[in-house]
Amino acid sequence: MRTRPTIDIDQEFSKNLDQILQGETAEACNSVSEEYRATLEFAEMLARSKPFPRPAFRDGLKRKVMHRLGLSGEVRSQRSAQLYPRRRVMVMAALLLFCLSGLTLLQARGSLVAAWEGIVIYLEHIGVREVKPERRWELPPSEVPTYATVAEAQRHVDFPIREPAYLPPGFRLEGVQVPDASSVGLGYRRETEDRGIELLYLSQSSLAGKVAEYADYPGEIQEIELQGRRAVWGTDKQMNLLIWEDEDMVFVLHSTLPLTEMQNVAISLFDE
Amino acid sequence: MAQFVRKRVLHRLESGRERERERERTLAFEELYECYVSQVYAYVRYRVDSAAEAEDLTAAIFERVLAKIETFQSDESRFAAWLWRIARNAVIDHYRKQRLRRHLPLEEIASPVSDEPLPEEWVLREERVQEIRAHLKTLPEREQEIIALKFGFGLTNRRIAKVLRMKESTVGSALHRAMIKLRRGMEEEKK
Repeated sequence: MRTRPTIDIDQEFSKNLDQILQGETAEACNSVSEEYRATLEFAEMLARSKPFPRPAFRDGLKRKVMHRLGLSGEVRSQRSAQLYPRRRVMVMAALLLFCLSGLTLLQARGSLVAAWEGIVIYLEHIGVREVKPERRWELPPSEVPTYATVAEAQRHVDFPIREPAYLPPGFRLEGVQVPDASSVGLGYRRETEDRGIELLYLSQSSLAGKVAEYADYPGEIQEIELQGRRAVWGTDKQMNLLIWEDEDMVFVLHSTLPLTEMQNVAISLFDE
Repeated sequence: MAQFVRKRVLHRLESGRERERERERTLAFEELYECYVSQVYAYVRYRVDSAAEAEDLTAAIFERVLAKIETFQSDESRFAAWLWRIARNAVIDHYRKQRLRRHLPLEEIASPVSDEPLPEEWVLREERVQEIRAHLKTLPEREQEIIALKFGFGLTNRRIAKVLRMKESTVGSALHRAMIKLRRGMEEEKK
């Protein structure tokens, strides 16, 4: 004797309801009751009567939500923007001090007059036109210990100082600054008739135990690759820079030289 | 000096990446808002008595989403589940608060939707929704919730079962039963 298959009416209803909610036609089987069919029709009516938000409310809420979302995301950038002018002044002052201390180093063997001439030539070279040479001025004393050779400086730092195997023609070491035992700065200089005085300053710092705490650099920056290593190239009207890391050391090259030349110097420093 | 400048530059790079991430997150969130705002509103509207309350609650739900946006994952299914929970909790909180201030006059509880002219389609739909809601609220709380999740959010029975921690088969039978009761209630009133 064959028995008629039983239908789970609740399951069937759920299946039909899902069809309705997906915009399809509910296909109820023939054996369902009139009440079932009436309930399905009612479900269709209910689906058609789905509440929707007023367009003005929907748009207004969207504006509010996106504004709030933007605000939460931009708080940091806004703070940065507010601080930016002050930071910019600080950065410019720091760069100026850097230039002055570098020049102090470079002109250590010359007179103040020669140093001043060097500054004028250098500043003219990098595009600062408002220098008034006739104004009386004295170089600030540099408190950073400076040594004439790498060998002398090496005795005061706790890592091996690296020297570039390649330097653009004409550059020679002017001195080595040792701010502390974990960092060192090698100053190179060349002087040509057509380009005036050009500087190349190579900083090397040990990263060990240092906490990352970053600020803004005023120029444009981008990530580049130096023979497979990640590096940062920054260009600014005052000074270009190239930064890379090697093992636990960070190297920074500051110069007005173009990228290719600075890259060549950098690559010549790589630990083989 | 070197480290100082390096820190500056790397921070700048990090800020750039962070801004990009935030921009992407904003765009993703905008898309999700567009996708879910109507569902959230519909669900809430089935659970409360007026459009004004539904609007307030919908706004509150998105406020809560924003407050926890840091934990937002750009995985849509997770986002949806998270949103349902927030919406449900918002409705529960709403009723909890309403019980506390039940003694207040009605006009202080329900604010008008808006003074602006309303779209005719919305007005007609709202009239219908009010009628449905009037009958829906006579059902047990659990059945109201199932219908709201089904017709508001458009969830499958399996999802509803997960949200309400019920068996899928129990959801199916409760849904069928609730729909029959709702239909009968509305039909009887018409007679």
